[in-house]
Amino acid sequence: MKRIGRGAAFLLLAMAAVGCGMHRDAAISPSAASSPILSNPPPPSATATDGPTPSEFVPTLPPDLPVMPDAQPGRLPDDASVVARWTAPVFGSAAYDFYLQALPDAGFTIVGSYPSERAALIRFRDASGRIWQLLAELVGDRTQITVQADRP
Amino acid sequence: MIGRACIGLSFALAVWLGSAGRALATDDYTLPFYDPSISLSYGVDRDPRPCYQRDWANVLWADCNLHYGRVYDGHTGMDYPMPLLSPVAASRDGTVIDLFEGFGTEQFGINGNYVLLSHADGRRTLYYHLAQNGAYASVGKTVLAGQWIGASGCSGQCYGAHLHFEMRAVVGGRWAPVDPLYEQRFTTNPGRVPFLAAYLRESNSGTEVIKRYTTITHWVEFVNAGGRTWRNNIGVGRVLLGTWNPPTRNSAFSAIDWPSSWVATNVDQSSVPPGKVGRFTFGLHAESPPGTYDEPFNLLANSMRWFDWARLSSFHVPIMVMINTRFDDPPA
Repeated sequence: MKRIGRGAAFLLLAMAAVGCGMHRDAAISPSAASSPILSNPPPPSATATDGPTPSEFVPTLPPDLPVMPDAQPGRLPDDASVVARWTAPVFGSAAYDFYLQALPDAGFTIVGSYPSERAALIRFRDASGRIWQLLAELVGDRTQITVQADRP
Repeated sequence: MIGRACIGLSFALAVWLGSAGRALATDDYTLPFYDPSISLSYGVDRDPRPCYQRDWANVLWADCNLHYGRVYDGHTGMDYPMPLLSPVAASRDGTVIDLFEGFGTEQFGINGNYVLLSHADGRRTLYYHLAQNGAYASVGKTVLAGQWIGASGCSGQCYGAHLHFEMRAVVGGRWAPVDPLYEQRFTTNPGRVPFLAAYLRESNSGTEVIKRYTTITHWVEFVNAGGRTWRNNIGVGRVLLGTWNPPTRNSAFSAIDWPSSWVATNVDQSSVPPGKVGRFTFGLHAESPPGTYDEPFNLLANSMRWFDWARLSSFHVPIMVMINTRFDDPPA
């Protein structure tokens, strides 16, 4: 009974979608967007600042940002929000642990830390109130550290 | 007009289907740790396509980026940041079916330490990146929801100390990761830790005045703010009100209805589900000489864990013992 009901509802939904011209997900490609799509409102975010809007904001490296020992400059990607990148000869949590301590020591305020199996991300605020992200991930046999403007 | 009707119909159907696709909240899993301040680092990616990510709230991200607090591409579990050697708890009653604890606490590599539990509903839960020798259970043993089963670490493929908690179910004949947040397997989203309570009220929030050699009755109510149902059976895990500062202190005010010298009472109700109010009724008998006293109490899940006393508003009963002229000499 429940299955029949659900099946009928699926059919109705499909008809409604076709009839009304709804094409959920259909036209979205990975390169087309980097923001959330669909019905739900975006997550609550602590990213709001009093600074300029993204269209006005030209990110530059926050002054006094600490750099890991033995780090070497890396090539910046084709992404205007990325302001710095380098690699360090360390594994796993080393870069994350280093910056959890070094950022506050240098006067930055950590607003969130997000460890995982793929990379570690630290969100921090500079003296002007702007929020940045520091991403540490393994690339080859080194940890790549990327500093970029904050985004959800 | 027709277009608006179509949108309305589609929306209503979508909402109905969305809810039908989820299980109702089952109140049967708790968060796998005790500290309620821990928040999700990354959740399950419910979209199998590379560089498409769908989180528990059904938000789709058409990119490969990390989305802090929500999801990252291809993620099969839920990452919770926690310092090394933090306690890890079973999220439901179950049996240990596998574990490994031989890697270093922060040994980076493909594999890490873990405990794998099997549950009565046919699901399994995995607790990953544990510390070296950080599995506090053995294969074949049964564990209870909220039981301390391990210590967190950062073994395996791990960038920053955290617990990777994963729920698996048989889907299409194969074990596959599922999203407990989307399925509302936790009591509430984003879930509740096992043992947590909030003070609500008591029979007398001021000083209890007791005539010496007599007994009065006192009760206090707490909201079950945790993810585990309180029970008053005699088994492990029953929720009781015990003396505090120090814990299990013999009380000078224990009454005849106390189960022991430090247990004032078990929870009155046979069952107090998460979100509901539990009452604890107990006697206070004064043998002490006239004067002022203070009796702190805390909740305990028996043989498992004391609750966070501060979150119980540091519950205590101020007591003033009065002279009883039937037995005491009047003051000079």
